[in-house]
Amino acid sequence: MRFGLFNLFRESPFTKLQEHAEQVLAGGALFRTAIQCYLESDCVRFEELHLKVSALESEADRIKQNVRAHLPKGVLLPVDKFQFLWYLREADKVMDSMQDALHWLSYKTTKVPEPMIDDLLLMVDKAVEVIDQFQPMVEGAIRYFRSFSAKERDKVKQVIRDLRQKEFESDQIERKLKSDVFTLTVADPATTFHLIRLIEYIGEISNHAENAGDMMRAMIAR
Amino acid sequence: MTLTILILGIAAGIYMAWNIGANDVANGMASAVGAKAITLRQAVYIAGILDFVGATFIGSHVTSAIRNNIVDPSVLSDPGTVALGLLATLLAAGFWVFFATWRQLPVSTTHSVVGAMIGFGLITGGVSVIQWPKVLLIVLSWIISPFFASLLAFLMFQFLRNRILSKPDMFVKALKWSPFFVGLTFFIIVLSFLLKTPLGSRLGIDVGTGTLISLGVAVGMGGIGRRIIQRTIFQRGEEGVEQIFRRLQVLTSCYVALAHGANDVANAMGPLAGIYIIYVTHAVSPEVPVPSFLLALGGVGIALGVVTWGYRVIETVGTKITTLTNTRGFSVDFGTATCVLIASKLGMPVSTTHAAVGAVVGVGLARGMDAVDFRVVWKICLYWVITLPVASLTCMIFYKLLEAFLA
Repeated sequence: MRFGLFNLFRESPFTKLQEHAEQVLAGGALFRTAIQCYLESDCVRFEELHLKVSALESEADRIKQNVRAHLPKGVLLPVDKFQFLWYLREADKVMDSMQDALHWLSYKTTKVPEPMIDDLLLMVDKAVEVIDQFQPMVEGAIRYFRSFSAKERDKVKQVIRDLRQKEFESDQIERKLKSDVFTLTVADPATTFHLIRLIEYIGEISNHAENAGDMMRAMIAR
Repeated sequence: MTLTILILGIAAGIYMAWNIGANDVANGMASAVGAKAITLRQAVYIAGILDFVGATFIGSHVTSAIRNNIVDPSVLSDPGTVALGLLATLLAAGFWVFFATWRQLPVSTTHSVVGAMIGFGLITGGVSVIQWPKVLLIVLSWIISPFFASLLAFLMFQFLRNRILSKPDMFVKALKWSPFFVGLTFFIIVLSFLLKTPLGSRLGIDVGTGTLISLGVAVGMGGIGRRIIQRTIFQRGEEGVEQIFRRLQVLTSCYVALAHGANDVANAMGPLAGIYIIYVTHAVSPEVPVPSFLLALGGVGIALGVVTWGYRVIETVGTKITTLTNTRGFSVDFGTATCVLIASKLGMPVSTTHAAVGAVVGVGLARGMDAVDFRVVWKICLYWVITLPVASLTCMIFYKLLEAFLA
């Protein structure tokens, strides 16, 4: 056997998936602090974190493009390639939504009405909690594809269940916050617009994370 | 002139043996090293020693001057022509194998030699002396052996996944099935030794007796194997399951190294033995006795190939296939060995290389590999197909050149 036979094996795209998840995870932690800084009107620190999240987003984009560029037609994966790429797309959108939210905040300094602050932070926390599920989900899935062990599969399924639950909670808070915005910022339409869009962007984080979880669930389906 | 041919023949024979050792060792060792069943150093020792032992002690002492009798031997009567032709064959096959190695493509050493022989037959006797039905068998083997090996590896991995890996108590399940797998491994190894290597014919064992002996060994070893596994494996769960197959993989790689030496030494030493006999007796005979010192020379050449270059091949391979676990590696080994065993008993000149490619793809199709590139498969197949015409054409050129310079 000439060792060209081993050109049959390509680099596993799963390790890249894990790298991507790491970027998202790191982004989540920074995102929360950035929002806090904004609420405390610490503009310098906010801008600093905003830049850092942007850098992570570019890195995540690079990883995503790299994975796509190296999965030409003819490469067989243990999972459906469509589902795999769809998962990556949604996971990347999680990162994009974080960046969008921070970009959006940076355009205007808005004073968030006091009664909304706790709920807003709670929603951010939910988004970060959803993001925190990424790492165990991807790692568990990779272990499952290696071992096909039912135990690993169950673990991943549980993580995805948790993820869905958190997304549901995030949705509830989003609805409450939106109605609050309309009652609390009647006098200032610019603030209304700014906050509504902000809440939607934060909601998008959990939505895309849930979509990614759904795709992962499809990938591990038996 | 015959002395010149003999000296050149020895050089070409050793080169061919070196090539076989340098490249083909990865056959048995790659999946085991990749799955970390054995270390690189162990692989080199196992391959070097067992290939040498296989070539020297089990390698056939009688070989047909023309590999697979692809050329009607009755038309080859002139000793000078045959000696020249055999030298051209060795050179052409060596050249093609070298080229394929450089392009990193797995071609069959056996098919290279057969292809070169066809070229020699064509140039000396014309189209009519070629045994075309045998050529057709080779062409069929390109299709049958990869598909069959692929199917076997696919089924084996599916079985492992559905019956063991995906069960909640996978180690208990693996232990329950272990006598079956140990027995199966021994069955294939013993049967292959008895039927596929020259050992069996020397002992006068036919298919029926061979099967019975192998079955007996398999049943015995299956029972003993389970006990050994219970006493020596302390991990549970996934790691425990992998440990069981790790042990089986050590066995299969040892077997492949030994069988490889025994069978493939003829590719390098068969034509050389033909030249040697012509040098000694000045006559051509269809059956050529291969002197022990030539077998040993072939064995040394192969072992040298393993030590000087083969280890790099195994290393490349070992680092490249990190996702190959022992269960997958075992499935590949099982598919390859079984396919080669059955097909060669059906008289099909299959190549281990072809079977191994098929087996890897089979496990890939069973969703066992992280990423298998099918475009590479087509490229590999193309090289299999062009091996015969290219080697035969090269052989004709070499023959004409040698004729011009030596005759």
